[in-house]
Amino acid sequence: MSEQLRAASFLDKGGTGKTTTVAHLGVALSERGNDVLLIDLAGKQADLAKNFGVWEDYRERIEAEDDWPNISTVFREQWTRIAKKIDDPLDELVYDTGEGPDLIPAHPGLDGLDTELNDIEEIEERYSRLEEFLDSYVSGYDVVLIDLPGSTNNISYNGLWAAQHVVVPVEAGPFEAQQAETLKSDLERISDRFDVDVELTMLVMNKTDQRTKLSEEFADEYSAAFDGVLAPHEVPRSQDVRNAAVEGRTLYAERGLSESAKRALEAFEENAEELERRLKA
Amino acid sequence: MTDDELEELRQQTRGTDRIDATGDEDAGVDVEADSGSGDDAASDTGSSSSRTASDAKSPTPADDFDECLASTVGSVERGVQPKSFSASDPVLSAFFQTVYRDDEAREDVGEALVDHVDVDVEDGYTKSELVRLSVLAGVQEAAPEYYEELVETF
Ligand SMILES: Nc1ncnc2c1ncn2[C@@H]1O[C@H](COP(=O)(O)OP(=O)(O)OP(=O)(O)O)[C@@H](O)[C@H]1O
Ligand SMILES: [Mg+2]
Repeated sequence: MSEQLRAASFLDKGGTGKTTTVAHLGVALSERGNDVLLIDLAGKQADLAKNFGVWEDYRERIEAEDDWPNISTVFREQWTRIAKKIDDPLDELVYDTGEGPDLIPAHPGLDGLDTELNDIEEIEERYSRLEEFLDSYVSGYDVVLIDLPGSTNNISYNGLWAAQHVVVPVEAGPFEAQQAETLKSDLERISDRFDVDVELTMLVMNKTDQRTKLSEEFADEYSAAFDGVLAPHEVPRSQDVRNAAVEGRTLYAERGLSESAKRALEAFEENAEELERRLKA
Repeated sequence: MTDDELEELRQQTRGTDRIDATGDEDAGVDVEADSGSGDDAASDTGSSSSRTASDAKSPTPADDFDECLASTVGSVERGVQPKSFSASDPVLSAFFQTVYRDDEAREDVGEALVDHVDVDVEDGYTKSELVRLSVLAGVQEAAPEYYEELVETF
């Protein structure tokens, strides 16, 4: 079996399109013939589950307390013992998105997890719980994409450790450029300090508007600063992206796409192909 | 899953945070803030040793507190410790979300906090900024001598 490809969507800023990117790249990679697993670590608003319309179902299970084990359980020190006692532990965690990829949804248990992980003295262990889980329990998938919270905490560190490849959606603006620069140097520092090699694999310009002089300038700036990292296609701003998310699906399952949505879809496809290439390199 | 041991493991790892029974899916979302210091700063430094009976009024940091703080700041800056800290409190979480969504409340609370702690905000009153300012204000108010150490580190 070939090696499992992994990437995490991350930027410590809210609302730049991390979840949207994971959802669409996930479906695109699945359409390209991969078995894809999406993991939502982005917090208990469970956006990825909502994006695929499985949240209501999952929420009912949570309310009925039929929600154990869940993604937060795999971070606990008891996990190995738990997994031994369950026939197919992965199967207990996974949901079908109906659009190709499988999904491990976020769970309210992630909420207290960040603070709890602080109690693990051994720092390498604190950050490698997810990696251990993926290595030991997640087989049968060609690609694993992880959605991370928009903040730098113990959970996002776990995601970065496990994936080692980071996809960063940014909007075109001065703050965002700065944010991406900071992330790049953060990742370099993390890699220097620890025995991991976390790399910025793809920077995606998201929600771009029709070309103005200003956005042209930002695009030039980005390509200079992130040579070789920039995604081949910008993802245009399209109301259909938002509408589809509200309806609980991606653009792939949406009918009667607007022009901008068609371009967005094309961008996701091209970027997925390129991501696959970069992850394999 | 009827196994006794499994049931015990389940109890141990269920986590304390259940979804709000009212069904408001946003209630209780974690509030998070970015800032130069992780929450380890307080726990790693043995600050509790300085709380003796005599300092009921204003707690004083131990002599080596500043060094411990500086070294933890260093470790955050090197990426050893994460940059964000979080707290779990459903009502406070709801509070910050409500303030953040309400333009007037956001400006009111944000400006009052900035006046109080006298620090700059960069990117407007984001939720992270509101939390950060509130934490600063709280430490300043309740533990001014610790606050001194804190501002010297900035
Ligand atoms: N290309 C796009 N065109 C239009 N709307 C978009 C686009 N990309 C994302 N959005 C919308 O922007 C909002 C934020 O996107 P998303 O939830 O993916 O960001 P995020 O980085 O995951 O946010 P958070 O930090 O809150 O997790 C959503 O409403 C989403 O539907
Ligand atoms: Mg998200």
